[in-house]
Amino acid sequence: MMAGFPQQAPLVIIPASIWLGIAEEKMIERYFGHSYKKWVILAVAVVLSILFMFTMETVILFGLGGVPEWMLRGLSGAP
Amino acid sequence: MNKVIEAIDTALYDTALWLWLIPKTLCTVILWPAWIKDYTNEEYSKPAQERFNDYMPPVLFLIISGVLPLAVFVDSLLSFWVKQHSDDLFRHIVDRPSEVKLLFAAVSMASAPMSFAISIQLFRRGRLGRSELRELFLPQAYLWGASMVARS
Repeated sequence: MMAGFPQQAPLVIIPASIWLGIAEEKMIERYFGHSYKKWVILAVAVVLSILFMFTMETVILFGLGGVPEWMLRGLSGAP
Repeated sequence: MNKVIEAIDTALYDTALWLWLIPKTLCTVILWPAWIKDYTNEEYSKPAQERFNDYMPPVLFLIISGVLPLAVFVDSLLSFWVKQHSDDLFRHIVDRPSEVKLLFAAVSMASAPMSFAISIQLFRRGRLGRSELRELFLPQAYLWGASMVARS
C-alpha cells in the first residue's frame, strides 16, 4: 500500500470497477452479441478515454489555471 | 409574479423528486445495466416533455452522481496525499481554484462514457455525429454515473 493513500479506498474502488467492467461487457453485447469484438471495443475505449482525459485535463490545468510557477521558473532558468 | 412563484415551485418539486429518483435510478442501473440501453432508446422516441419521467435524465444523473462527488472525493484524496508528500506534483492540482477542479472532474467524468460511445460507433461503422453518438452516450452516462456513486 502506498504511503499517504487511504487504505479503505480500494475496498470501494475495486468492486465498483469490477461491476463497471461487467456492465460495460453486457452493454457492448447488446450491440454486437457474443463476439470477440467486445474485447477490442473495450480496449479501444480505454485507450481513447486515457487520451481524452490526458489532453483535456492538461488544457484545463494550464489553460484555465495558468502555467504552474515551477514550470515558469524552469523555463526562465531562475532558481 | 405568479410565473416566478410557479418557477420556484417547479424547481423545488424537481429537486425534492431527486431524493427519490436518484436512488431509484442507481438501484435500477446497478441491477440491470444492459436494460438501460432499451430504456434510453424508448425515451428518445417520446416527445421532449415526456422523456425520463420515471428515472433521472442520464446527463443530469452523471453530473449529480458522478461529477460533484468525484470533484470532492479526488480533492480530499489529493489533499490527503499532498499532506504526506508536500513536494509532490499533485500539489499543483490541489492548489487550483475550485472551479478549475470542478471542470477537471467534469472532463474526467465525461471522457470515459464518450470514449465508449465513440468506440462502439466506430465498430458499427456508423457516423460519428451529434445525434448518432447521443443514442450511445446516454446509457454510458447512466453506467459511469452509477459507478462513480459507488466509488465516491
